[in-house]
Formats: sequence, C-alpha cells, structure tokens
Amino acid sequence: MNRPFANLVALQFKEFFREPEIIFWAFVLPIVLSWLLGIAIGTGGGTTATAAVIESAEAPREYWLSWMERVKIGIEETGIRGASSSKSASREASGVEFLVLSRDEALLALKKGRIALFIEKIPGGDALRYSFDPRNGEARMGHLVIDRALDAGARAHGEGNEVASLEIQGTRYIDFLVPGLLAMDIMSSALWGIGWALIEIRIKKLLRRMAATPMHKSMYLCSHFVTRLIVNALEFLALYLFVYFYFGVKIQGSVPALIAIFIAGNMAFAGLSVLMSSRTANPRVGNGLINAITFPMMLLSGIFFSYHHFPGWAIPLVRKLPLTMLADSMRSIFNEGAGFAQVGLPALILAAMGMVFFYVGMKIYKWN
Amino acid sequence: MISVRNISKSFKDVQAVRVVSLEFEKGRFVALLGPNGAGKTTLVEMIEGIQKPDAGTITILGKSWRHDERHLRRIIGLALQETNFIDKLTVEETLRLFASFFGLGRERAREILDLINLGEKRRSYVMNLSHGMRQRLSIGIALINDPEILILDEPTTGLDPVARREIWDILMNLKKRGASLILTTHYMEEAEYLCDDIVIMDKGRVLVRGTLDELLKADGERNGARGAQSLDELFISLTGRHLNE
Repeated sequence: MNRPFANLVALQFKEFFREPEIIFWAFVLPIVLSWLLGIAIGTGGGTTATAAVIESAEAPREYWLSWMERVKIGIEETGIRGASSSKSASREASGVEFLVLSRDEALLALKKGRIALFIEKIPGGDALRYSFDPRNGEARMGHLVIDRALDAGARAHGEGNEVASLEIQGTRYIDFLVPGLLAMDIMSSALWGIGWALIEIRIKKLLRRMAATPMHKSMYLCSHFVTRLIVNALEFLALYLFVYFYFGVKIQGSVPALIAIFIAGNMAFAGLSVLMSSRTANPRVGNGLINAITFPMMLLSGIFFSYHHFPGWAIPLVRKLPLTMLADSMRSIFNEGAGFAQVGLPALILAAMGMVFFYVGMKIYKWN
Repeated sequence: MISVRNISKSFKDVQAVRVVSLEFEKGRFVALLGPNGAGKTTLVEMIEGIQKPDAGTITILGKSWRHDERHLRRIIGLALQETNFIDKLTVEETLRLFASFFGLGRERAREILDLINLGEKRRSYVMNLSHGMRQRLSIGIALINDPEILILDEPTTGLDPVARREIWDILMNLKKRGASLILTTHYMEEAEYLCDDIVIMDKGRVLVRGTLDELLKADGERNGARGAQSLDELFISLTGRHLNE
C-alpha cells in the first residue's frame, strides 16, 4: 500500500539522512557542545571561584599562607565528608583558587574578571571582610565555600559547627546545562528542520506543486512534525547516552513526564515553525525570522546560564517563553526528581501553544 | 470540457489577464502562444485552480474550483513552470510520492517511468538529472493520475532540440490515446507540431484562436496579399513583436 502520509514522512527522513552535514549538526554538535562546556566550566558543581586575599601591614603574606592552610583543610574535609563520590568532591575542593594581592591589584583583577571576590582582615581583630558583587553567583558561591571551609577547619581542630556538603547530584554545571541543551535542540531542530524546510520548499515552488494534488494540506504539515519528533527523539537519546556515560548525568525524575514534556515542547516549536513559515518566500527573511525567534530565547531562557541574573521585573516574562518553560521543566525532571505534578501544567501550556500556532499558521498559510 | 468566461486577474498595478473567454474541447491539444508577460501562465494557473480570478468564472466538466476542488485535483494533471523537486529523492521515489497523493501504488510509478523513458534513471537522485530529464519527470508527475485534462506550462523551455523532441514524442503518444492538453509555449514549431488549436495572447488578452489554417486564412482575408504565410508571420503581424521578445 502506498500511503501518502507514510510516504511524506519517509521522504523527509530520506532527505535528512542523505545529507551528512545535517547529521553532523543535528547529532554531533550538541554532543561536542556539551563536552566542551562541561570540560571548560567543570563538573564540580559550578562553585569554582578565584578569590584574592589582601596583603597589608597587619595581614602580611605569611599570615595569609597560614590562613590558606586552614581553609584548604576545611575544604577537603567538607568535600570528602559530604560527597557521594570522593572523586567529584576532590575536584570541588580544588576548585577554589587564592591569589595574594594588594588592594589596588585586587580591584583591577576584579574589574577584569580574574577574581570573583577579595578578602581582607578587619584591623583590630580576627574578623574578615568579603568584598564582592552580590549578583555574581560565582562570588557568592566562593564566599559560601570559604566560610564553611573555615568553620570545618576550625571544627577539625576541636571547634566549630557541622558543614553541609555542596556536592549533591544535579548541582554541577553539566547537570544544569544538559536539559537546557536538549530543550534548545528541540527549538532549533523544529525551526530549522520544519520552518526553514517549508520556506525552502515554497521557494523551490514544490509546495504549490504538492498543493495542486488531492493531498491533505494539514497532513503534509503534520508529516513534518512527526518526522521532526522522531529525529529529535534520536538526537535526545544520542546526547543523553553521551552525557550519562561521560559525565554521569542521570534523569532523577519521572521518565513518562519527561516524554510528555518532550512531546509538548516539540508541539510548541513545530506549531511556531508552521506559523513562522506561513507567508515567507524569501530566504533572507526566513533566516532573519528564525534568528529573531531563536537568539533571544537562547539568551533569555537560561540555557547556558541562569536567567535569575536578569532584573526581577524581567523574570516573570522570561518564564513565559516556551523555551524557558521547556528547559525549566526538563531541568526539574533531570535534577530535582520532578514528575507530572510539577511539569503537567507547562506541558499542557506548551501543547496548547503548539496547537494555536499550528491552527493560525494553517489559516494564513500561503501554498502558492 | 473547460469553459472560461470573462476572467480577469491583476497583481498590484499589473493587469495580467483582461476579460478572457475561451472554450476548450475534449480530446484536443491547444497551444497558448504569447510573448513574456502575455498572461499565459496566469491564465493556466487560474484554470488549474492555483490562482483565483478577480472576476469571471471557470468550469471544468461542469464543476468549479470553489465547490469541487478535490474532485478536480483528481482529474487534472499539470506541470508548472520551474518546479524543483526534492534533490535527494530518486526518480522512482518522487513518482511514488506523487502517486500516493492519488491513492495509487508503486506499479503506477513504474508505468510512468516507462512512459517518460526514465527507467534507467529510476534510482538516480533528482539532483543528478539533466534539465531535459527533470522536465520529463515533471510531465511524468503530471500524468501519474491518468488525468482527463493535462495542462503543461512551458514544458520545453530551455531544452536543447533533442530533449525537446523527446518530450514531443511523449506528448504525441498521449495525443494518439485521446488525451486533452493545454500547453503554453514560446516555440512556434511546438505549437504547430503538437496542437490542433492555437490561441495567441498578448497583454492579457486573447488576440485570435483557431486551427493554424483558420488563423492564416482569416489573416489573409484581413490583409489580402500581405497576409501571413506562417505562424511566425502571423504572430508578428498581430503583436508587432517576435515571440521571444
């Protein structure tokens, strides 16, 4: 039996897999990206910080070297005691770097981003002053690590309180990154794989030729969605297997909920792609439209870095973006053990968005 | 078979077709001749249901595009100008895809491969076909549903004489089988060789319509000894231009 829908899906698969370059961009690039970012930023919980200690008459170099010994003991004990894996704990422990600088040098280093915070001794006692930008996550984390390490070091000498571990599954940068990359991949794949493909088919005048047959037009657009859903699932699986074996990233929450949010995300972006491509017959306009949609979301939706650094008024808006909803939901399943109760609503919203975009796109679609 | 009555079509400030009325009879090959911008493509695209006329009506075997689109799509075969098929599908896959839109199986695709003489290229990607072969594929797709009416928009433009002759052979075979064809063309000899009736258009209007003999006779009656002796002369006499201008 020669079924049109199966043929349409098959043709898109053939087109996809007969382009080696597309396979590289779809499958290999996300893996390389996750590897590079994972290696570059580290798997040690994102707590890597560089701090300066300020050399002065009252706190000379020797004072700080002795102080660092105490901190180092504290960091090592903190990491080892609380970690589920001693390997990852030691990475975290070695993540804090100290430089001994003058105050002026420290200020310059802070401006250049070489250090995240500096520490100085308050004259007339043992108290320390931490100076850093409170919006800088690295600095805040560095402050926390050192402070707790000092407590732990003191405890090791018979004083001080217990210090909780920072090494918890899901707190590493790679844990943060991977669900975001997967969400971004769904968006890019839909907009380029469906939106751009449809624009290209219109430019080639193949769309009008197909529309001049008894083929159902909605079936044609749905065939793009189904193809892309399957391709995205394969891409998802390839990337997940890589980060599972290489970085030890695990899905801690509900897999059925993950599948649901994955399908809903695909629906949202497939619908958006149909709407985006509904009138465009110019490759430059199409390219610009896709970039105009993807770049702001890539930057705003917290794919590579948390969107919590944005001003407070912007965050509620950012959270309403489809990519933010998808990335946040996937992150909560991967890292926080979330299930349907947590991601059910965003999944419904994303699916509804997709249907509305698709419906409007179909209504205004230019087939000629 | 096809009745076109008082149709007009404008694009922004250009009036592409101006109050055209034509009747097309079953089993006849009709050529639409005209220079660039004459309105041929717009006219056939309205007959094909791709463009909607601003005014006037078109009925095909008594049916209209507004009410019977799916039925008409099943009985018309068409080849548009400048269609690019999917580069990395093979010839046979492309034919099977279009066959599936009509509920037809792979056997029909194989029949068409023989009909358009592309059997040896069935496993070749479309991107590796010559221009002439792609045009034959385009005609094959037009024929896939064994249409009652075939509409081809400049199927031989840009082809060398050999490739053009191959397409003529395909069309002449169809003619022997009683097919009905509307063909737009830039080539006088193509219209003369293939078609029973000739319609000459210019600036969105139909100037004359009839068999070649009828057209030459009528011109002779109008112009006496200065009457046209060939289709080429007739065209220049009517439009003041050569066909390729």
